[in-house]
Amino acid sequence: MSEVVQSLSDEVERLRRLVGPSERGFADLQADVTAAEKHARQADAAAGELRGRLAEMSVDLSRARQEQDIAMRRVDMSPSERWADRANRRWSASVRPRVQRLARRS
Amino acid sequence: MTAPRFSVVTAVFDPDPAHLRAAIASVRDQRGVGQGGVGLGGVGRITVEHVLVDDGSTRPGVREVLDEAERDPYTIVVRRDANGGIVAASNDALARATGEFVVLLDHDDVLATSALSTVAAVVDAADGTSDPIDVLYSDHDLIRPDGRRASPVFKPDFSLERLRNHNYITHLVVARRTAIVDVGGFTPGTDGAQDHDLLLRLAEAVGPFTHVPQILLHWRQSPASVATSSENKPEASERQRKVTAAHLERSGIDARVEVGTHPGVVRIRRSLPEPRPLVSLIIPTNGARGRPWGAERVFVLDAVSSILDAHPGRAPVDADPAGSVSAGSRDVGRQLTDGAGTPAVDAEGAGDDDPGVDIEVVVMIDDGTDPLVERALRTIAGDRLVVVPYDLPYNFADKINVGVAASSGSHVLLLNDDTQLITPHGIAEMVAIAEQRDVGMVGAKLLFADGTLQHGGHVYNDMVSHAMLGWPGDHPGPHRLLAVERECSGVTAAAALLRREVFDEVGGMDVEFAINYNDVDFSLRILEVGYRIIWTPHASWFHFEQQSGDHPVDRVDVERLEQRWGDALRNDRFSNPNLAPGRCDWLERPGLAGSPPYEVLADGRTSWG
Repeated sequence: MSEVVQSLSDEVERLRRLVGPSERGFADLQADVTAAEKHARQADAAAGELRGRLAEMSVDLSRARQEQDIAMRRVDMSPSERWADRANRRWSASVRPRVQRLARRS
Repeated sequence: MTAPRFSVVTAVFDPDPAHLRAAIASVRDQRGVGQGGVGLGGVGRITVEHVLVDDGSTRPGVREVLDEAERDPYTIVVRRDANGGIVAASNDALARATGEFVVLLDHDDVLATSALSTVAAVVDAADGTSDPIDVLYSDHDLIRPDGRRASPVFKPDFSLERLRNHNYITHLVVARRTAIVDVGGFTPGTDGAQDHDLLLRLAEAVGPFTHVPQILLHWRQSPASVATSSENKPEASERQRKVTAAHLERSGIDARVEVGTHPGVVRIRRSLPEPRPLVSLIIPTNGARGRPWGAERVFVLDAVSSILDAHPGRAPVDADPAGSVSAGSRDVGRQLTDGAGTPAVDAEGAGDDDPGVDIEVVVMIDDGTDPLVERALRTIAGDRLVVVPYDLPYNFADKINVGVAASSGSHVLLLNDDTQLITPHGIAEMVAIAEQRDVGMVGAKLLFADGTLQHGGHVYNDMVSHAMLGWPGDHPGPHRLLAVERECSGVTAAAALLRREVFDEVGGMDVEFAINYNDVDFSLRILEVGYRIIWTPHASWFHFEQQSGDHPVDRVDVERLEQRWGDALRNDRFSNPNLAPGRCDWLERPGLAGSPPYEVLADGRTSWG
């Protein structure tokens, strides 16, 4: 009999260790979950802040790479190629969209 | 004497003489660009006069620069006896201007080499149409203190709502002289915000401005310049607040204007209409569950309760007749999920401050949804709930149409079920904006569960995306675009508010777009009718999009969208053709980020020093 009692007692202790300090009631467990969720949310927000900064910095990095790439290409260009390159960029970025827009408007 | 085409007007007060000299030279350089014979103050049709008004400068060297400039026959120098401020000096300059168009130029800024020939070409192209140009603005960049050009500002086409929130136009501004005269020139007492005031009054008088997406002006950053920081001129913020309030009053918009939290931005708090509007939430759901922040929730319950907690309105019913769940919106969600429910919204007085709108909850529930969801919704929303059973194959657009048909509000708020309201007064903010008769739809700021930005308005820039996707949720964005109310080509239907009449006028959502792009098509049809679509940062929700499952894009939907709206999807007028296509983060096209072009100079050095 005492072995059975001892065994049950051990089981109770094991379960207590699993449940932790809130085994006394559902409300305590719920409070634990709420607190855990609050911490999870704070951790998520902290991770989000870092993710957001990464997104912002990746744009800066893309910009720097673009500039580096175009600078390296220009170094190798002859003056006429540079002129043609600049004209081409102006055409594609500014003139063509404006012409399209005016065409749509008319 | 023939009147010149352009009058550049510049108020001068104690600039660095070298900077003033550069400004004057940049105006002279406009003459003859790409033109034929000699004309007045220039060549061919590009005729330019420069009116400089010295507002009592005392800085050594300024007088000498002006004396030198005066030798040019097409430069007029007016000397005021005493400093009267930029408005008085600018009005003196306007009084002497004789050109067809007035060009506003600060005393230390520099016109781009071909600025006025570009402007002339654009004006000429429009002259033959029924829509001649009265006011035009361009993109600009900054001249850093070390003399290098940087930080280009690529602007959207005319955006009235954004102009109300901040002066996103700044430079270069060219306006028909008669238009400026008709609005009375610069308004006394607006020093520091005089340009913003003038632009708002011109917008009232002549309507939309024309935007030239080219850098036609280089704005010098000097220690005291607004180009360096708006905080350098704190009194300008208060004047900006006043000029915006005056504009709204003239426009018949009942609103309170406050100085915003970001430099150069105002916060407009519009009044709500009378009688008190009823907003119908239109929420399709299948009772999906998820675990944002670790605790399981039934999304739709938290979506509804987060709104009703902020809009108490009529009291919720005390108990469900079945008695299985008790009253109290969040508690109901908790009991259903057997979890902890939702942490409190970031309420600034949620529930203790009447938002001024009533709420009706229309939920389209898919066949096969757990019946406990509907029961819990009834407990949360009481007699504010309208349930529409939906037993057809999944079609988001059709569900929205069915929901709107079953609703009775003067306004409908299309809302995904996996959302949670953050700003208690967000819906009221959206209603107040939507009350402008020319506004068709209002979108909100949506954040992922981690607080990063999910939706800052749509961008149709060779793709369909959300502006600044993934950026920090509280970031003002490039050129403040995430800190202000502004026009967009579209907004997500995950949280979009319309007046019912607009929804009916465009015929609701197109059910052919069953899953994808129904909101894009819907937005573009609203624009096509002639309405504006506004995105506001002052109404925000969490959108647990990751938790709501993947929705693979249907190729048929992509092709249908392309066929119907291909041109609009490549020419978003609220983006800019100088921005890299296929991106949503305002990255410039290669070579346009502001670094000076690499040139080998005559002495063998390079332009990069």
